[in-house]
Amino acid sequence: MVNRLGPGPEDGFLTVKNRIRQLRAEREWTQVDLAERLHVSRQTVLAIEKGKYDPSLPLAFSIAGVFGLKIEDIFDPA
Amino acid sequence: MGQMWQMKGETPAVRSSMKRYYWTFAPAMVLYVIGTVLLFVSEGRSTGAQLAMAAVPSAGIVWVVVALVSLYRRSDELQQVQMLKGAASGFTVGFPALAISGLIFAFLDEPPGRPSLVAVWLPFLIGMAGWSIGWARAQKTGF
Repeated sequence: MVNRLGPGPEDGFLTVKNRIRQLRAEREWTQVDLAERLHVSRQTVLAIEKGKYDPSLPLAFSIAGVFGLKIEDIFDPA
Repeated sequence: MGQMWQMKGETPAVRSSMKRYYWTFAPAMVLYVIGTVLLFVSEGRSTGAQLAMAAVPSAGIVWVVVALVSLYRRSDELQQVQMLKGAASGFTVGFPALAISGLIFAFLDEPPGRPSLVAVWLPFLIGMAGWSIGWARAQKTGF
C-alpha cells in the first residue's frame, strides 16, 4: 500500500497516474532541475512522481507547461 | 564535513523538514525555559514585575505563531499539506499526552497551588514528545 499525502481511492477519490519521471528522463533533467522550473521543492517532485501526492490544478498546468504538453498527455486516471 | 550523527529512519526529506522548523521552535523553547524560571522567581514581586516576566514566555508563543505563518507562506503546496497534517497529527497525539500527564502531575502537586518545576515541565515535555511523534509520523506517511 502506498502511503499517500492526499486523499486516495480508499477515500472514494480517483487515483491519477503520471508520466513525469519518463518525460524528465527523456529531457535528462534531474528532479532538482524540474523542481527549479516549477518553483517547488525536490520532495514535491519526488512525491508526485511516486504517486504519493496529486498536484493542484495550477501546478498540473505548470508541469504541462514546462514539458510543452497538455495535462492529459501527462496525467492519466488509473 | 560529513554528517556527524543520524537518527534511525531519518531520510533526507525528514532532515530537510527538521531544518525548516529549527528557527521556528528553537528560539521559542529558549524563551519558554527562561520564562518558566522567571515566573518562579517572580513570586512576591509587584504585579508590574510579574507581568514583565510573563512577557518572556509570551514572546516565545508570538515567535512560534509568526514563524509558522511565515514558513507556511514560503512553502510549496506539498509542504503546506504536510504542515497542516503534521499539526493535526501532532495535536491528536500530543494534546491527550499533555492532558493526561498534566492531570497526573496535578495530583502529585505538593503543596496544592504551588507546582514544582518538575510538575510544570514534565507534562510539557511529554506533550512535546507526543507532538513530535505525531508530526514525524505525518511527514513520513501523510497521517
